[in-house]
Amino acid sequence: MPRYILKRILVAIPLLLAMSFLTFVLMQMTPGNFFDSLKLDPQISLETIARYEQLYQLDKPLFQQYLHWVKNLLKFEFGYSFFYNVPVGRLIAARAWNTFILSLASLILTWLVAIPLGIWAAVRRNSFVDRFLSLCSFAGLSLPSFFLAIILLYIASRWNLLPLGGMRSAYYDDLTWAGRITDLLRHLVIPTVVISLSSIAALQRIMRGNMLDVLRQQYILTARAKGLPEHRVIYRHALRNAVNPLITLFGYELSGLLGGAALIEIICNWPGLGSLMLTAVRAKDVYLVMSSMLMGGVLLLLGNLIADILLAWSDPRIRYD
Amino acid sequence: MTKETKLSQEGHRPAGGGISPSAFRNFRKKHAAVFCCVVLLLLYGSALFADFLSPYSYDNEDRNYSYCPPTRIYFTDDQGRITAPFVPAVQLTFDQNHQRVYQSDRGQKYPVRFFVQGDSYKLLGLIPLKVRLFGVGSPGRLHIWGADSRGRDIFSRILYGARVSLSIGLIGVLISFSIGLLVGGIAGYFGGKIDNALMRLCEMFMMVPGFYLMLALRSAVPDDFNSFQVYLSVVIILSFIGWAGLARIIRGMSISLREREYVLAARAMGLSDLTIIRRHILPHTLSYSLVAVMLSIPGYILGEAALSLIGLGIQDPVASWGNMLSDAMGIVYIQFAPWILLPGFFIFLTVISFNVIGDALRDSLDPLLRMEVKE
Amino acid sequence: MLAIQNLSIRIPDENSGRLLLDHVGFDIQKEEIFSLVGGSGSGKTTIGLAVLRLLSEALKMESGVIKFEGQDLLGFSKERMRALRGKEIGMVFQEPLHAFNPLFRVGAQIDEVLRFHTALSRKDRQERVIDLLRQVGIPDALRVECLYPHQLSGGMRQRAMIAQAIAASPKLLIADEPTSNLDVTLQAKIMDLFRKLKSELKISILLITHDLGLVKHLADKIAVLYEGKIVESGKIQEVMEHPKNDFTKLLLRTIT
Repeated sequence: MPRYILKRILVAIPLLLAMSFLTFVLMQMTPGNFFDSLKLDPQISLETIARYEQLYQLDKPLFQQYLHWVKNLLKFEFGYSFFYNVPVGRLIAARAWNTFILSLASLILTWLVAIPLGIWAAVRRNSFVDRFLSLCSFAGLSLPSFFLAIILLYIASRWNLLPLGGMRSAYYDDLTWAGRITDLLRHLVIPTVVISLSSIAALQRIMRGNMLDVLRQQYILTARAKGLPEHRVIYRHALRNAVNPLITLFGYELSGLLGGAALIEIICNWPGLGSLMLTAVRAKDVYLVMSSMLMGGVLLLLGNLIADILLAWSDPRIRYD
Repeated sequence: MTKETKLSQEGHRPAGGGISPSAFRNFRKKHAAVFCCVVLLLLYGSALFADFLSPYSYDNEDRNYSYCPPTRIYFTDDQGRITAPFVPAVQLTFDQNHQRVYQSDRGQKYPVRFFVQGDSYKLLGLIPLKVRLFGVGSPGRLHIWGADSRGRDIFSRILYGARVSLSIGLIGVLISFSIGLLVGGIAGYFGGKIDNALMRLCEMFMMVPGFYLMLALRSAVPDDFNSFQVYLSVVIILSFIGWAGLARIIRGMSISLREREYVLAARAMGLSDLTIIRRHILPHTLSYSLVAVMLSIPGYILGEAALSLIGLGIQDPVASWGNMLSDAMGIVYIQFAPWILLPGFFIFLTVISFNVIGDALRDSLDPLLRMEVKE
Repeated sequence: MLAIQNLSIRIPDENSGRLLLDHVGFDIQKEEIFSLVGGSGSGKTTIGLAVLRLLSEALKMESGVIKFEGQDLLGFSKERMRALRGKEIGMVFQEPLHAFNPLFRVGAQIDEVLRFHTALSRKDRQERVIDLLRQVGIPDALRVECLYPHQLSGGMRQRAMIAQAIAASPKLLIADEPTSNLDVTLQAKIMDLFRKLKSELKISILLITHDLGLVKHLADKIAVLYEGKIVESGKIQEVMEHPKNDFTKLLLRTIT
């Protein structure tokens, strides 16, 4: 197992490097750099700007700049952010963590809601409940997430239920430990619901399909012939087998969430990797953009890796072959 | 973006096959899908003739009508007598809370007329015309769905926005699909090293978080591009992200098809590989490809809308449903001008129509496909 | 002990549907091995499922009486039926690889029967599982108990399935094509096992098969099923020596 993980990581490294190089090239394609805006300021002398450019290697040939950045990567230095005036590493760490919290919350919500709904729909196949859920799933998949975000923010503003975006209230530091958690949860509600909706819709349909497939299997007949109570047949035998193929989905969802969350982060003002990326792109903050991309790619990769590991763990047929 | 690929991940089994007459029959029976076809036809038709159907051009603004509510058309005058439909003069005032209030004065009438002279345009890009389907004479203004922050007619902008939002979906998917078809077809057919190399390339593209790549690509577009160039850039960017998924699907089908008898026969006859790919393999992927395409169009529409919403897509004053929604991002305005949410509903309508049609197509082409939910 | 009368089951389709079972009836006594022989599609599996009332929803029971120990099974409530399955009547299926849940260990699946039908403690159940596995002829029961179904050989899997079916000491065992996927030597061994079940554990067996040769030396009574109808039945000796029906004669010819 550890060898398998190592192999996957080794294969990923050239891919990540290629991706970062692509990003670098893209950033350089736009004429000008961050300091152009400074050049317009008459108070800053051209010499100062030239010195800055020298400091950040912007006067060297492009390829050298890139190599310099990669070299620093190995020292875990991600470069410097011109816009925020801090080393990129620190920024990314904090923001990545926030994005992770949001993604995790969405994942939990998705699975908590979708699995029972899927089971319910399968067990009550073709009933009113099943058809209603099917309709809702369809609508949920088609509703643009940003639209839902706007509507929910509006509703929250009218009825003063929840904070309108951001991650912390202004008075966060005055709260107790429990109060802080509540505050975080309240801020999490809207972005989490928005992000989860389409995942719930999709997962519910898949779960329903899997359950129906499993319920047709021989071992379910055996379980009933053994005289097991129906709840055991459904919740132990059927469920366990139906969820199995979804375990890989879990990992891929985690990685998919990171990208999908970006837009909602921006709309709801959640201080995560996505909104950082937007700011960086707007400001042409080269190293910040590249590092964010890299981080995004790494998180995606991690998600896929977790998916594969989980698959191997959950299905003994794969494990013992 | 995970959402638009979710529906296409279900029933993910390459079956391949042409479109048979029985498939048509099956599809016609699904009333919801047929209804959605009509809806889409109406939307695309309106987009095509947006100039004629809308009372105003998309950039026709009048700040005196900022956030003006939908104009009420009266059929009776202030004495209760029935008259031809008209629109009253409207005056913008502010109440004690500094909120906008529009006072209407029924005495001053502006009759609603058909085939009026309005802002000039070129029908289908060629014929210069000024006649529009309906409107009122100035200085009256007819906003049947209200106006936005700058006093631009929402109804008109939705029609013009349809042009951008709907066409990006089609063109984007066309480009992605062409690339995907080529790459996937070649990879699946040749196998071996070529397959490996191409699939690594696909993986690289799929590994990058889509939205991040979109932002990065967008930042490479120079600031001084005009709106058409921005439009092209957005289309290209969206295609750039989307082709890898389609290529993988095509490759899967290609692999399962290359072992079929008619392909082996073609090879025995000495046909070149490219001919075989073109004539034998690709046509059989048609049916499933059609489904995959239908189900990915929403992704492009949503992608453009997302970019425009945060200001990185189609720029003002050109209308797109996405950038119209950015008005609504300042949440407060929704309360007294809920009509600014209309573009969102249209996006929803379009996306759900494509999804319904795609789903129905998949069902009617091969009922067995539907039962194979797992990969 | 088991009395079936007049059982008719229909598969509904666009026309009125075809009759899968046509007024089928037979009796099974205590400590008796009763063999139901028929070709594929003759409806023999359906009879087994009908007794346990596990028929698929697509099938319609048009008429029939099924009595077990004098009680009408068709009148049982769902809960009573559930209590009966596994405890009074056990069933063994044709393809043990698919009939076992692939994600759970074999021992755990046998243990389940004990858990829901007996009041034994965890430790007692564990011992009984090992005991059962030994009884059906798996000597290294301790090792096998921890394995997953796909890790067992075909013969062992079938035995484990039988162990699962008799775990709660039922009075009747319904065996649906128990040896179709095994080779001849294994078949013989399973037949020996059935003999042992009858003589030592006093379990009656309804043996459903297409292979007359298999049950030649095993069954006490036999019934031949052809296109949904019982065309011949009686003591095994009688039927084999003096067959009255053409289909029976055909079957006999294939084994001599």
